[in-house]
Amino acid sequence: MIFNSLTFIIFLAIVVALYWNLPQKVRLWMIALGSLVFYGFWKPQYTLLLIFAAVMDYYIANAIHHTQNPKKRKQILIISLVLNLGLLVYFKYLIFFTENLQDLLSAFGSGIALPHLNIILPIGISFYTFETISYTVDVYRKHIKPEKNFISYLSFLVYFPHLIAGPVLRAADILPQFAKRVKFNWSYINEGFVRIVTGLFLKVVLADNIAPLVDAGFDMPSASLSAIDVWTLAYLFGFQIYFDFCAYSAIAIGAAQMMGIHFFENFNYPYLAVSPKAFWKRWHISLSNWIKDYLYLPLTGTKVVYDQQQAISEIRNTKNAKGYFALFLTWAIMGFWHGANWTFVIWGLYHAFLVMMHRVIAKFTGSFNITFLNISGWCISLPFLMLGWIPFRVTGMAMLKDYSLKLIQPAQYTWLGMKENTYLITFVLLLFVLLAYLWNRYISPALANTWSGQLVKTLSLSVIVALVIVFLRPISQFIYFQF
Amino acid sequence: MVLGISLLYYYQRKTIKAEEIGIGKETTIYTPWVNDYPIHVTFFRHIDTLLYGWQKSGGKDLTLWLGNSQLHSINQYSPGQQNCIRFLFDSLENSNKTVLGISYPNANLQEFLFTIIYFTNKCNKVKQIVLPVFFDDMREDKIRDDIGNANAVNFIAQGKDSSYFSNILSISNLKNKKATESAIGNDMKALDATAQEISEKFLDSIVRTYWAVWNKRPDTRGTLFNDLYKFRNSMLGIKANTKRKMIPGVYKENYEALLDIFKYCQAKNIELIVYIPPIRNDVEPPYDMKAYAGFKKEVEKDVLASHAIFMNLENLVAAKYWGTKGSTSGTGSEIDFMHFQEPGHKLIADTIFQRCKK
Repeated sequence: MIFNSLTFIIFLAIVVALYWNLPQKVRLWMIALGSLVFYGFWKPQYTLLLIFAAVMDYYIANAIHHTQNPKKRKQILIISLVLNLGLLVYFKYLIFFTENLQDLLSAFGSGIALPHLNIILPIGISFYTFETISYTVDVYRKHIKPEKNFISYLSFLVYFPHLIAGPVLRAADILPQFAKRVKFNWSYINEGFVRIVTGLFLKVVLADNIAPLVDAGFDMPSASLSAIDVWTLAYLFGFQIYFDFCAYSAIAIGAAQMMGIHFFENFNYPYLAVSPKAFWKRWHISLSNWIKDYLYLPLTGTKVVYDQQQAISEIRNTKNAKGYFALFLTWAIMGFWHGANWTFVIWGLYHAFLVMMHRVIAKFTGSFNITFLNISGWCISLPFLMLGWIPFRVTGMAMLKDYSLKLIQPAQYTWLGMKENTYLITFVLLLFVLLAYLWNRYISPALANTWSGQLVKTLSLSVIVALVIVFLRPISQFIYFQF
Repeated sequence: MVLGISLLYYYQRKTIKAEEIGIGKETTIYTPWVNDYPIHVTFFRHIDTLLYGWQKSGGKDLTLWLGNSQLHSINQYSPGQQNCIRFLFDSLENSNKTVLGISYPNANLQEFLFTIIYFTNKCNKVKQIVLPVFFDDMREDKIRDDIGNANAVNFIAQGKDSSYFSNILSISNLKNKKATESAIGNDMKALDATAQEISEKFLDSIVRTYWAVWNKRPDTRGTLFNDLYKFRNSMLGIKANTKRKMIPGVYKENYEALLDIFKYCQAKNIELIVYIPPIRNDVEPPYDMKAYAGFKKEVEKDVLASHAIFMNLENLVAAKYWGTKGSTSGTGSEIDFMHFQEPGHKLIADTIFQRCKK
């Protein structure tokens, strides 16, 4: 089910009403069944795959827990990983691997024709696969005990607000919340409503109206674009994907909040980050943390332990070379997770390079004034971070090459190839993001308990509601559905 | 929530019709009908109706006149007035020829190329094509959803004439682009082929029936964008006569489409009449005059090289036959450089008629 639709609004109202009125046990059943209905609104048959993934990891986690022999525990974990990743590879990457193999065979003059595959990617598979993996790994690491009640586990995995595009949740954060019955409070509904409306505003008013400009730009022949156009498109797509994905997270957080379930924030003004490293602490935070905890740290050889607050703490025991290898490998995998295309791998490696450069430069800037560092860091980081969206958005390596070549030719900086509005809107959006940050960070807290603050807040929300009503239509999916 | 909806009610009181947004209140869209069938349409999807009417009325040899809103708009319109297509139709009435018109607002040459190939594949009696080449529209590059819908793209892709598309606008590109678009309407294209489509259509129809605000949303969006457009213009001091620069890439795409049209008409033995359309000549047009002069020269050279007919009609319609339109940046009115009054339509129809009857 798509959030930006009337169907979802009606569905959410029904689920929230039932949630607060049903007894605890029935409530979990309702969440599980409701979430499967939510998923089934896309393609009902794919709910079976979801249930299969849930059943599999429920039993595997229990098996790991009840096995004392470390070697056997590891073997069961490996089975779980192979099965989970196997499903992901089959549905998401098999076509890509087959096509690449076919190209390779043709390059060597082989006449073998591999079968043409037609596999539909189940939406959300990348997200729920990561969640099942983290659950089993956490049980293996003895960070959590496996859930005894299958319906609780199923509810966690398929819980509709996060099911399709995150945030990537951890069982340790959600299962305890499902277990206790929170007392109803109107503030849950109010706060959830504001988050949902804000999310819908970002999606249907901003992202969906930027999309045609971005599509038009990237649909233009490369020869018709200048280097300035490539930069502009990078910024414009950067804003589109930010509003789109941030919107999804806001609606997910708001929908869960309406049921008294707390999700961690997934975005924190990423374009205000003062370094590439800081960016990834502000962008898709749940995925960045997942990647760090379950991929990057193990790859560096770091022993992952848990302190009493159940937070992961790290004991670094790696040398630089191994660290950088892990960094690049992690990012290549991170890129590949986003999509079965070499351009995504390039995107990942580009970010690894940015992080590496930041680490190198940071060694020499320790004594600099912090304000100067932050301002200069932001001014330098933002263009490079935005440029990273080019490999993410282009449709192939040839296009990426064309765009990259433009960036390094001075002559390509002397003309403009798109309509004036495109540059103007990009600039206005940058201004909007900066003003939104300043407002929320400084002005809004200062006005919090004043009548003028309340008036501004009420008026802004009213305008946002009006705009959402005017623009609400399932005209496009959320970008992260495809991952 | 209540305040938001109230604001919306208030705003919708000033909602203007979508067609008025583009051309202004002083100009009226006019498309003639003869014997219950249109002889001029402004949507690609109405071409089949246009052809049906033509067949019903005898199926004479055809002159196809293409254009932008200049063709289907009459400035300071009063009832009973006619546009150039109707004037030419009447002039040709006693001959063995007739005319049909197709015009789209801000139409670009890529859209004309697509329309010509589609139309002439559906009707083999097209003997002449009248094609205005608007300098303004060389900035337009979007193929509107109405043109190149899935059926039309497939129709052309399956025929051999798809080879007339240049590399820039290849039929396969268009096909790929359109393949991602929905067959169920633009507003719900994300739901195409999902189970949610049924529930969303049902809910949307209910809300539309019982809540006028919901029903008026397309016009409200149009009005909102128009207000934003005016706001931008007032902030940046943009007026109707503000000079607009050509966009090199878009210009090239459109010019290649024009060359494709030349090639196509030559190959199909269709006489092509290309004209530089009328523009107000008592004030300097909103063009970079050097670029405009170069454009006219380039078009004339290539038209003649392809053995088509070239006519420069830029000074045909006298200043008195032009009017004004709503200000582009707020209240008041400004010169309308594109749309003229009925006498202008008569003048241009007569000029084309002289050429058609030869």
